[in-house]
Amino acid sequence: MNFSYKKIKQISYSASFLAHLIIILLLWIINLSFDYSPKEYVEVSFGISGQTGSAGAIGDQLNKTEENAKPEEKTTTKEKSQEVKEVELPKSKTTDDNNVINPADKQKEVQKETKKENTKKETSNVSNQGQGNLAQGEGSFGFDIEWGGSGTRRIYYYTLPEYPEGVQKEIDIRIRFTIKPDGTVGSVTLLTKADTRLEQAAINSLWQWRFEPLPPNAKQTNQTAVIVFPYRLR
Amino acid sequence: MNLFEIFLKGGFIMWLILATSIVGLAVVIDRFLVLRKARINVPAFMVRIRGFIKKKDISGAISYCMEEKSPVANIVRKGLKKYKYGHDRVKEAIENAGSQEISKLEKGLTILATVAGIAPLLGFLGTVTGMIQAFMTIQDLAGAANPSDLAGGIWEALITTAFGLIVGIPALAFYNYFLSAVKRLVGEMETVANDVVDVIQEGEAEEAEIDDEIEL
Repeated sequence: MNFSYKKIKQISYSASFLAHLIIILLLWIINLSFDYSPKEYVEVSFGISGQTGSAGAIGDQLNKTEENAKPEEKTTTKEKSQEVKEVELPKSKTTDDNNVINPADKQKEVQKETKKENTKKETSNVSNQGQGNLAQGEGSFGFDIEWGGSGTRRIYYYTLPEYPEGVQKEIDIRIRFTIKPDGTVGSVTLLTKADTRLEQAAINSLWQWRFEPLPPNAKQTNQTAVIVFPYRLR
Repeated sequence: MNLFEIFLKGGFIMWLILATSIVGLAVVIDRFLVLRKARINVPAFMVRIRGFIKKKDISGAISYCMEEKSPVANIVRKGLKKYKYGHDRVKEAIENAGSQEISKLEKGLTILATVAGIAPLLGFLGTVTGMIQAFMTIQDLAGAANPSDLAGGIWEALITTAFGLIVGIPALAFYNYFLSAVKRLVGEMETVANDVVDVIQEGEAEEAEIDDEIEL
């Protein structure tokens, strides 16, 4: 017999080796991701106040950022105009019970907070009317967020717009904005036409908002939400 | 996440499974080449060989068998070499050569069967060790592990089972395929060998008859 078994054996072993190398290369190239696509519209909820809410996969990070975020929040909401105009604070539409603490608890917390602030106010002569906003909303914050569909993004950090001086107008400013995968605010579109100063104030404060970043295994897309800043004269 | 990263998550058992996979595929390629070369057109071959033997052109038949280069031709050639010693010796030589050829054809199939059995078992071993690790970490965390810790350990452990089955299932399929192919070849060999022996026997009988006639 002319063909030798040994040669075939050698050939087949080298071929097998090569094939496995190719398979490993293919494994390298193929990106198997268990991505799920997040909802296009999101419900925005307040992760920052919730110890009671489910922390989720990145709960620890959440608590850390919360600690960082809170003091900032206080400083930014100061420096309100001394007039009696301000942004009124209707109830937030956040209905997701998992992410929002019970109103009763929250009220207590908020009351505590305001008490502290009151003592602060006395010492520091800064007009702190804006701070009252937190207490006024009965456990919620001074803006309406509308959303379509489900899915949630927690808010890590937010500021409320100041009522610009020299404007005498009561209007709800509706803004549609996108939340980038990293939690920052992307494009901002005004849905209501109003005084440019009001618009600017609303947009400027919205730009500073920070949301919970999307988890790394989620598809990194922008999510859309609509927010309403109700400017009210007082 | 890259598939290769997932592969690495399986731990060192994954490398054992990869080794069995390499050996298994090598055997598959080896058997495939060998069995493809072993396959011949039996009726055509028989017609040619009968022609040679009837013409008593044994050297011609042997050279034809050399050209064919298949196990069937090989055993026929080995048998024909003993032509002059009578059909009993031819049969003996063919049987000997046949068992040799069969062992050559079946070589490596036991390895393939072992791979088919061992790869999934290695996978299970990897899963069990992975589970042990996962539960150990949970104990270390004093029960404060969140579900993602548990799930992470478990899916990493299950990877080895998946890869073990990926290697084992085709190995088993190929093993059975090659086994049936060898069986078919052995059957062909038997028919060819019997036929050749028959033809030689007939030739001898005719010669004996002619001898008888001459004597008469």
